[in-house]
Amino acid sequence: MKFIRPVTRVTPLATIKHKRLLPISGRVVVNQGQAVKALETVAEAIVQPRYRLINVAQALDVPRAEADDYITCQAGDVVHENDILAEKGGLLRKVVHSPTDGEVLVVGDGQILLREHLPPWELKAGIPGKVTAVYTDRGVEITTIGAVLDGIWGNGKIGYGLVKMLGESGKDAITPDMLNIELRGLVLAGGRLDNPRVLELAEGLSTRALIVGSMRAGMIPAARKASFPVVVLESFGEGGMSASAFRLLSTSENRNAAVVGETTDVYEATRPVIVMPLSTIEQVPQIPVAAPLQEGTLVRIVRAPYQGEVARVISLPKGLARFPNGVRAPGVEVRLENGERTIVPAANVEVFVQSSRSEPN
Amino acid sequence: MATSLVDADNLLAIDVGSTHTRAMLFDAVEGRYHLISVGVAMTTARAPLNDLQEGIYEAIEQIQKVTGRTLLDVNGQLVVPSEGAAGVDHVAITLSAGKPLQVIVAGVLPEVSLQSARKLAMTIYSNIRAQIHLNDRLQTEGRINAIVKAHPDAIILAGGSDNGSKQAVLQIAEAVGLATYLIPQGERPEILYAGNAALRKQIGKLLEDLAPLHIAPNLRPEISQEQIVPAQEALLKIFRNVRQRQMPGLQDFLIPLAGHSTLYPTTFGLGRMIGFLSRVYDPSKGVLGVDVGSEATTVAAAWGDESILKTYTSLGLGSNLPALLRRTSVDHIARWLPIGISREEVADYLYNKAVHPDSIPMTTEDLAVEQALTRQILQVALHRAWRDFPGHIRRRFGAQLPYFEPILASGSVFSKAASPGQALLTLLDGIQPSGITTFVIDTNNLLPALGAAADMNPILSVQVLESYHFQPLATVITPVHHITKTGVPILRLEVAIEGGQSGTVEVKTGTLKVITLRPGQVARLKVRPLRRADAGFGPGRRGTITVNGSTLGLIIDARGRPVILPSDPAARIEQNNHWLQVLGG
Repeated sequence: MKFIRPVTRVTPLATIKHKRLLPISGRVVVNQGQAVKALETVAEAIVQPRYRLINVAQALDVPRAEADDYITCQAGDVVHENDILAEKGGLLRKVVHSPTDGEVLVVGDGQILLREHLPPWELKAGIPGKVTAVYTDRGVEITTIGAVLDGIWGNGKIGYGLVKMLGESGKDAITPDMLNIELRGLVLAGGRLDNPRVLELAEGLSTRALIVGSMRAGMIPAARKASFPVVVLESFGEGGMSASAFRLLSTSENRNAAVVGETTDVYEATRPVIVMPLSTIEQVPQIPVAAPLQEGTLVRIVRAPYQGEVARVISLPKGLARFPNGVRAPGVEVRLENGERTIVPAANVEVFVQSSRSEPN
Repeated sequence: MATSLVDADNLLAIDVGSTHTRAMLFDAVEGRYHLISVGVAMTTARAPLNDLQEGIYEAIEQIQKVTGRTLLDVNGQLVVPSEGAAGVDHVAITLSAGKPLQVIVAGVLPEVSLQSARKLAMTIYSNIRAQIHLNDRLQTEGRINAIVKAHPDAIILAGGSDNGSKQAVLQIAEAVGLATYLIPQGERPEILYAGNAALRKQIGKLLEDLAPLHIAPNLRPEISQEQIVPAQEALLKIFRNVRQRQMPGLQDFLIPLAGHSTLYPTTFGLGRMIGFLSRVYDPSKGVLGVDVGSEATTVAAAWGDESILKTYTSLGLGSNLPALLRRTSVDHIARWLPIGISREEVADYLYNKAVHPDSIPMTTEDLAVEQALTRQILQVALHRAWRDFPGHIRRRFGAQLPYFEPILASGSVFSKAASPGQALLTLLDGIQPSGITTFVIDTNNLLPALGAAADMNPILSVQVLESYHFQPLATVITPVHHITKTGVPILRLEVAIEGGQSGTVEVKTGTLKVITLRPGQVARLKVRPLRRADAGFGPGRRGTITVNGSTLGLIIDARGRPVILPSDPAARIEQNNHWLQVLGG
């Protein structure tokens, strides 16, 4: 069996292409080739339109067929709240007012269908860069050069700001005492998150984003409520942040980071991402989103007992491997960073692209 | 049930699951159809590859390699129909990969037509986004907003018996029509009308210019009569249309196969075969099929001509695992664990699995959690399916699961279990059967493929079903009782193995008992329940049966229904572990 696995990037320099798409058809408001900032709107749509159906016949107390004669608006009219939509004269004058600002869509059969005027939902660029593709009515592709880290979970929000590390290593938990007024308005990054109080304090510091290596699943409801993006890079639990990710973020302190806390969707190919743009004129290769497993491929293991460990593929044994718990599945033989050789399920690894230092041999 | 070969066409079945794609070649050998070879590849329908053809062709290439047959031409395309020795005559595709169809069900009364529309929707992989009916308190305006907000792929519109309500149906249809009109062209849902037959013309006039409209037989021709099956074909057509639009590569794969292929949701193939088996087996019992997959769980049950098919897209062992917590709690999952793992770790596992849905448990702890999740998924799915079991079955058995013989299980959590005992205990705890039943694991997920193939080659489906590909896991006798005290004698069993030993066994409450009966062996059993327990012949009634050997042999599950677990965590872990050890660990 061929194993094409997703690529996870933890690398200081890459060309990053990032698609930003509306959930439904809307309007793209930027042009191809245009430079955009992370928090700039690139497209907009009325994601949750609201319609009003006005029963003129009932309001005027006339038969449906007759009611159309009293309607004073027509399809396409823009109306404002309290504008008269229908009117029956005479001694007992009756009128039908528009309940809202909006547009008349359909008139007939004694009814008026209005689309309420609502402000559009704005899709932000997420990362700064150049618009390299426009998908009509749906969104854009933005390209930039810089450092990039892929995550596994995000709370759906985006943010941009200067990076500040919390803790001495990726294994450290972020604790409330680490947060102080000097950290106001920054992108904070640390090993583990398991204390809801940290999110409350971060909220008070107008935190631009929070990046963690791991987070307890029980924290998800609180993380969803946060007004800033929360991104988990590696796992749920107490695994912390890998040395490579911690090192890359540490060496990027005081650089700007765009934090896109998109939710992971295997069909839409979306996942959270952190991008730290670099001003460079050199051509940097793009990293593919997937790559085949082969001898020498660098991988990251995503499940216990080696969750988070980086390893290099030694071989792809044929047939099914039997694992310590008795489960049989296609395996891949790898050498871990500590030199240990082992076989793990091929489905439990991702191709890993990281900075060149400390790669296992 | 021996059948003869009247058609020697061969057939390639392709099952595109969320994680794996299987190609299965069936051909005639010595006058009977057999499964010749199976190729398995990773499914490529989702990111990063986003083209399901890659996985399909890799699986086919494996068959070519193993059998030496030529199935693909020089351009790598499947040869259909066969040309000489190359290619295949028919292709049967089953599909469970892909996001569930977003469906709105609309009807007149919530307990009547709307309920039937829901049942129809659940025969495919669907997610019911909104329910529109006369008592929904939404009025037309609210209904329009609900439909537009849901961005549906399909709307099932039902309501009115054939000589009944017209105005109410038209009122609902008007909202459907207006909402559809407001959705941009190209994004509009397909509409299935399965209501009052007298309104078909008017419904056509109202809706057919707005969106693709499919007319099907009324789901409720009489208020007391429900017919789901006749409308299924129209819904399957919608499923195919939507999948071909949404799933990159599917249309390209199907075009050259026109006239020689079928495409069904995997769940439908399973349901069809369970229905068929039910007509073949003892009609006094039902046949049950369960499929626990990465993105959905299917429950198919049939009693002769009565059947139900339930597809739960919120119950799977993959990316939708967090949705399980809307139906159950971490405590309910953790109660099945045979080792000590904290609630927090179980929740962490659940979310880690959701972000890596195709990953495989490699440690004992991870495997235990995966199997605990499977038990709870089965519990939730069967509890929900039970509500739609035929009324006479529910009245007869109450809350207890009715007799089923056999119970067929699919899903890699069973077929790739570390041991047969683990697979069986997961099924026993999750399903909690009653009476006498045989558990069978559908190792290659053959049943859905045979269900899909039945259109083109019914003889093939029957002959393969008769063949050796379905190895029984165990025969289980469950004396149903509600005695909470353990150690009380509840069943006496006289066992006479043909050409071998015989003896009497007494089984006590709270225990699992294994009697070795290897494949090929046959035993005659005299079953005598005590204390009015129901061992499959009715409360307190005794009976005699013949059973065939199987992987684990004969199991007596005297733990009671429902299985009561100790409330003390340490005792519970010990109990779960003990039962696992009884079945071989």
